[in-house]
Amino acid sequence: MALKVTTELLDGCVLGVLSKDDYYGYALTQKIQESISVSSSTIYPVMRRLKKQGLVTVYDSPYQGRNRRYYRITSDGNRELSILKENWENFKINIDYLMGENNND
Amino acid sequence: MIKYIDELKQYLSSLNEDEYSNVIKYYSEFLEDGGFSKYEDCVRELGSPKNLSKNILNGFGLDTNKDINQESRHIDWWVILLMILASPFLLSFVIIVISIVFSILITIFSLLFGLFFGGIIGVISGIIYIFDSMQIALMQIGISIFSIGLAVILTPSCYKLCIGIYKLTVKCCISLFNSIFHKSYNKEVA
Repeated sequence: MALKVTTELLDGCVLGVLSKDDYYGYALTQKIQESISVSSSTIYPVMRRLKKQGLVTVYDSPYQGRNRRYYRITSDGNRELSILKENWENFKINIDYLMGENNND
Repeated sequence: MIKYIDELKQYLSSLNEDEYSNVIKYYSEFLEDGGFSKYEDCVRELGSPKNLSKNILNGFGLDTNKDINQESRHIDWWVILLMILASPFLLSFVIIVISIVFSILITIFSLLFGLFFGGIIGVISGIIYIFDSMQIALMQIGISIFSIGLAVILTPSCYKLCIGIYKLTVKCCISLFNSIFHKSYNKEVA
């Protein structure tokens, strides 16, 4: 995808993925990268910020003799996700209108 | 992978312990889970350790920039104080600058003081001796009044001059400190 994903959209994508299941860092990055092209190094700052804002929590779970840190969405996170979804819907409608409908006129 | 993490650690020394261990844990896990065992693979995935550290620290810029800056500034002042006390050259240099500025201020002050009170005494003595020698007494009164007037006229501008010198000194000291400690400060932030 050639378009740049803004910080808020990336927040929304991460929250959206986490709303379905808990993920650890690498798997989450992979999941995001399946759909949009972002560099692996952009995910950590996002997770850190979301954690700081209380939108996700972390817990450690043992895996092959070490701990994996999983991320889980909080109720605040779900609320934020629905706000972001709404904003995105409006945004999408307006962009569609400007790019699509004008050509047909 | 260990080499990569070790290099990354070097660039993140400015973070506090908690953040630091979070970052290191995240990326150690990330590289292990992804199976990036060779240094080159790590670089391909995440970029060079230096760039990655910049990326991480930039992320901090969004919400905790202030905290970090304040913390490092707080430390900086202690470092400055210690370095002044530890370095005989800097200490003597600062003392010289302060004493030069102080002597200039004292000179200006005593000049005004002398002009003003000398003028007053001159006027009084002129009046006392006015009947002994008319011409000299009149001349003395005239010169004295002139010196009082000069003092009165010069006082506001001298006051401004003093403040200007004071501010200039403070500015110079600050920029001196900055130029000396710039390198260490930058290292800490970048």
